[in-house]
Amino acid sequence: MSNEKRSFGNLIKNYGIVFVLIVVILFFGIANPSFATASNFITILTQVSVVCICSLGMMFVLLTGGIDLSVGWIISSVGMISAYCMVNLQMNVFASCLLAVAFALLVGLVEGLLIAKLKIPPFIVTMAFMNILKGFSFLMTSGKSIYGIPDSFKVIGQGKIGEIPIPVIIMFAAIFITWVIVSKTYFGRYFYAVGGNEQATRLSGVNTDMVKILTYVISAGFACLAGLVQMSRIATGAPNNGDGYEFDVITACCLGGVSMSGGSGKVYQVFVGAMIIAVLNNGLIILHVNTYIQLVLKGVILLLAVAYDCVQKNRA
Amino acid sequence: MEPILEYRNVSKAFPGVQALSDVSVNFMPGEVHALVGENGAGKSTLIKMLTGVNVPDQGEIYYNGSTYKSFNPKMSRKLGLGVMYQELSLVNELSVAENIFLGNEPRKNRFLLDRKKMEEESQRVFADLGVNLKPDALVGTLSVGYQQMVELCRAVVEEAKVLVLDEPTAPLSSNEVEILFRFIRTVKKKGITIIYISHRLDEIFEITDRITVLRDGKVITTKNTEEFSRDELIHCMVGRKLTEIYEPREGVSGGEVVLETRNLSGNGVKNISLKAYRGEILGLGGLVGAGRTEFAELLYGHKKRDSGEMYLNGKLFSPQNPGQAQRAGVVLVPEDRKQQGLLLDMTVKYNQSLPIVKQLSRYAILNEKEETKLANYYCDNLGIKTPSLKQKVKNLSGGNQQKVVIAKGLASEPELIIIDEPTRGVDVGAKRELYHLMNQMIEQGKTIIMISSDMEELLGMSDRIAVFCEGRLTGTLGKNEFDAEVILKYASSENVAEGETYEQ
Ligand SMILES: Nc1ncnc2c1ncn2[C@@H]1O[C@H](COP(=O)(O)OP(=O)(O)OP(=O)(O)O)[C@@H](O)[C@H]1O
Ligand SMILES: [Mg+2]
Repeated sequence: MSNEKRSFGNLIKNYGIVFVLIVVILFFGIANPSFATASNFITILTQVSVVCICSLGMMFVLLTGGIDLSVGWIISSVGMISAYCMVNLQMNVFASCLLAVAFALLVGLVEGLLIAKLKIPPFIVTMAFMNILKGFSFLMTSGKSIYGIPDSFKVIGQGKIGEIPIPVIIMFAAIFITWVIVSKTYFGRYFYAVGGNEQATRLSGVNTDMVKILTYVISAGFACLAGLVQMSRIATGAPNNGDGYEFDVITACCLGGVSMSGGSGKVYQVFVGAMIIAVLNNGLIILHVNTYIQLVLKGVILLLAVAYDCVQKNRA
Repeated sequence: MEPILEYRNVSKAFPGVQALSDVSVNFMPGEVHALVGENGAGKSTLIKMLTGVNVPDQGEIYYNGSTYKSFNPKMSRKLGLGVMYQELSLVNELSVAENIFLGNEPRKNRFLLDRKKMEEESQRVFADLGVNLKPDALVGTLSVGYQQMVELCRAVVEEAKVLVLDEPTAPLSSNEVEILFRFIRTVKKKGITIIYISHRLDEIFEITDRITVLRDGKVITTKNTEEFSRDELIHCMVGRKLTEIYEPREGVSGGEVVLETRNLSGNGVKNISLKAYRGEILGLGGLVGAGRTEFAELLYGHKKRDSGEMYLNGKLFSPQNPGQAQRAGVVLVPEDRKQQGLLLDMTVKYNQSLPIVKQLSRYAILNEKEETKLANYYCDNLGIKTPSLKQKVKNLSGGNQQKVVIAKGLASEPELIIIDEPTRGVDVGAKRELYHLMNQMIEQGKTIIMISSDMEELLGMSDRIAVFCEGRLTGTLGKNEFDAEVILKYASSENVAEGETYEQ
């Protein structure tokens, strides 16, 4: 409608979380001049890439009203599998990665099937897989880390094109692809529809089970990409590489404004949510804030941001 | 006599719509006062002010000696304003008595509930109002009609002076409507004012004393019911003369069989053998809960059948899910628009195109221009009143939501369309448009199975009528045998005892 006001108030209301990000950046920029440098921003973007890529996958799951707790340990297990193949089995780098991808997609498929067909709650299924994959990651090498990753693989996490690190490029490519899927393709509609009203969507002729299964496969796929980037960055296959990532990932989505009950969420929100977390991490370290105070501050800021968003939504 | 409730120059705007402008209307103690008007005329908006869901932009509301600028739910309950929306607000897991006293339970002492007193008290109220309800029955096990009755009794227990009923009869069977009317007549004698909103004109003429007509948010007129003729009332509502609602149509029953079921059972229906011919409207009659919806769910692959077969165009047809049925050219327009029909938080356009986004795409990329064109086409054709295609469906009036559900069903251009209660909550003008559309589809050689609890609609639109009762097919009538009495007879349970099902 043309008479919808484009006032400043509305802008804040719709893009509140972007303003939070700007405020946080301004704060650290003023507090410490070494924060607001081009090279530090590139560092932040590199640091955020793994969480952001993984959050994009999580968004699909959240849109349909599900949740995926297994992403952290997918990151770990994918790292372990590929490292094991490359180093211990001396396999070709490309084949190793392919094997890791196949493994992740299979995990996602099984999760999806259990959730959609047997109607087991997503929370339970993915929590079970969290443990299964954790055990699996440690069992592979009896808990030992794998070193000596070939240089050709390190490029993914450590290489640069011009000034821009490859993880950052991969992240933006993933963001673009996700954006195309959710807002340009027809099946992007289905993710929102299932989260909005599953029964009505099914009665509209959409195979809702398939849509749900697909979200877990996509989530596992993105987690796998994140896992490969992560392993390459630190050039080590460590079983606890991805430990706790699920929390950062879900927080990033939640902070950005992706609805936990399904049906709404945008790609930019996921990026902004992940960025807020990364900027906080980076800024607090630069300011030499005590680690425990960092935790408290991060928690408080998180609550404030989410509360602000909730208040805005309730008023609408 | 003094009015008990009076709106004085009340206005209300939503983004893009002036829902009410300068509305003044009064309600007398002990009268049944109808609010009528087209979909989106502002009826629900007006009464939602009594519970504070909407707050007037301008004007004030006089009630029982004071004037108010706005209300809130707690306040209106205390003041004796009982508003019943289309969605009931009962707790299914609690008993009838517990629901009636929810929030002000009688107690033995500070902590303990006085269950006995609660049940006795409820029993007394039921006897007083002539309602046949058991205080200890679980609300979830009751039919919609009785659930409604529980809600109404609750309002009476809370000493409501004004009872508002927003389209109460939409989900009711004709028996239940009778029970409701008896209730209304009883409470009216106690001096309680009833505000009655409905699109069923025969009900309006039967039960109300005065009628206020709203059109585009303005009061057109308020008159005593007997001063209106039916045509006059319709004229007031739509602002123009309407020709005959039911256009005469050549019945083409017989000929090519499009759909056939043989001894179909499951999902609560038993042994249904039925045929639908190309180019006919097959009406499914019966009481609410007779198994017609359940039958339709089997045809659409929404629920699994236990035994029996279905044939579509002579070929075995066994859809595993609605998607398969849809691709085979069968579509169901569901009855429950909030649960089954709509994505309430999404836009009008989004809802309408959901079944066909795939067909509107090339290389998986959705053609949004085509999508908008199509949405506009249906909005114009069905007269969906919305400020824009980007409006969220939950902000549309009830009747307009129904039209969106129908547009969704038509979008995939099915061969066979099953419409469950097509005109529930739809105004007369739009009804006529919808019937016209159905007739057009028939002319194009499509087939319609129409489930309807509205006898007039069933008789007016069908070419043949199949009557259901308690999950069985109890009779089929050709056009020359149409008779409301006969249909009611088939629909009532005496017929089932014989356990016979047959198809002529
Ligand atoms: N919350 C809302 N936000 C935006 N528009 C609204 C909202 N509620 C109602 N409207 C608009 O106000 C107008 C009046 O709606 P209302 O629900 O009062 O109609 P109604 O007379 O009850 O119609 P129906 O017979 O279809 O139920 C409609 O155009 C509707 O779209
Ligand atoms: Mg209404």
